[in-house]
Amino acid sequence: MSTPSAIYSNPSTTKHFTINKTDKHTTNGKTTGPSQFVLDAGIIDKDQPSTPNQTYLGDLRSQVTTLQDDLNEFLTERMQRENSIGKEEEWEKTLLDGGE
Amino acid sequence: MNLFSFSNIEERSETNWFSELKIPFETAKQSKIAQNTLQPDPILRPADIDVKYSTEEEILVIKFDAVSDRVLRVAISSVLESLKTVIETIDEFEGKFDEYLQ
Repeated sequence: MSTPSAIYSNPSTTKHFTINKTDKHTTNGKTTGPSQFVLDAGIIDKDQPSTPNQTYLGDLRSQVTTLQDDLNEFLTERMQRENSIGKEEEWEKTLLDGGE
Repeated sequence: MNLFSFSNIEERSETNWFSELKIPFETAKQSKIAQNTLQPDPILRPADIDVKYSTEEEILVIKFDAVSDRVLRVAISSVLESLKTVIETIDEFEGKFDEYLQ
């Protein structure tokens, strides 16, 4: 059986995401659920995912969580880069023509 | 007429950000259940994102077509959250004898 996979593409780039079956995967995603700030404030996460069963579908749920983390991190990084380019362009415009 | 299809209400913007996910289930029946469960979810901003589901035997294929990385991220994460619930539900209930309905 294969593992979950994803392909991302835009006009300038293509990236493949694959899941290594031998890595450890859990249902507790890094990019989902409450933030560390909220948890540090003492909030109990009542929507925490259940522990996966020792079955094929239990493993699949953990692997999908890892894939979701990978995609979220990749796309967040791209969004941040896009934002910083926008800010640089804005700053350059302000410097050159007073923002007009 | 499909009442759940809103794709004609708003004119589609230009979309250039694509993603294709392949989720391998154990059987073709499971991948079809996942497709039929996720597909009716209406797309909230059809002008910005299009999501298509299909199956290739036991593999569920999900194609996203979006106007930006931001829209793509929100859509993928939302679909995967629902997908994890579908996987968990099949895992918990498939093949189990329902003693309460006997």
